[in-house]
Amino acid sequence: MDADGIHGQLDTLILATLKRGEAHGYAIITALKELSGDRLDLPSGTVYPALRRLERAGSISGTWTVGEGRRRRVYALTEDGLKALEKGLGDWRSLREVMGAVLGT
Amino acid sequence: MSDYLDAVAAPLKGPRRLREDMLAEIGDGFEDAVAERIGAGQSPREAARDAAAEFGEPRLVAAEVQRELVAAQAKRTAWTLVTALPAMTIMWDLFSGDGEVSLAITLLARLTDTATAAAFVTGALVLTGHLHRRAAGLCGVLGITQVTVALACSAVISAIGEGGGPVAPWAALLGASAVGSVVVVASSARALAVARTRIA
Repeated sequence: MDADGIHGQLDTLILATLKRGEAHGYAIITALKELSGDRLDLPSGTVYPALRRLERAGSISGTWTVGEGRRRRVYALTEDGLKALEKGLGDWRSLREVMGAVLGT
Repeated sequence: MSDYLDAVAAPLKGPRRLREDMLAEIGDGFEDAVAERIGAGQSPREAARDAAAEFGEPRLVAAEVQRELVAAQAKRTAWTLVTALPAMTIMWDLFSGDGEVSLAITLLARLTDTATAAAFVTGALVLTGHLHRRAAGLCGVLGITQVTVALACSAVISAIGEGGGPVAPWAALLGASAVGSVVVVASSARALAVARTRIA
């Protein structure tokens, strides 16, 4: 699935990934690939601004950490992010039902 | 690796610290992507090429980064509007005379107050999360409009040559106003420039 296919769902996917535990940007990208079975054809570079957007919305918190001699920005899901994830899942289920009903699948 | 990051960075405009912070983070991830491929047996050149393909067109990534820079600049300018404008208004109210003034001067003062209120309310809406679309552009336009209206009205009032008569040191008042106006105009101009940056 390409970037257009997941338009509007990227935030929910990132939040779902962070529900598994805090992670830095590239670890989130790797998790998205693995969890989707490499079917998610997303320009990885766009995940970083999406993370900042989610942080600005209060859904995740980001902090710079230093480990193994490298500075990394690590993100964690917030309480608001958990609520946003639940809403995203609800919206997705509704969309799936509507699509299924219309397409007759 | 730096070629890719340079291409992402080239069209960006906005708060320097956030810009550098985001580019550092993307660079960090890019480094991971290259290292992963080199670990899998690719040459550094191939690894960098494939990592660039995975990260996406630099202009596509830059456009997304620019959105965050615009939002950050909008917030900065909004803070300037909600702090500097009330401070300048209170200062003028405190130090200006309170004698009888003509209708013309009252109208000019109200015109300035209206421009100030519009800019202040816009800034407050941005900071409270009630205004997102075109926030930076609106803050920029209203900030510059407020200063322009305030200066024009002040000039006309001075030309008319009446008023309650200042009771405070004029030089200090004018100096503080000039500094406040420059701060508002500078921040508003930056907001406009950042908002107008188009990355296609």
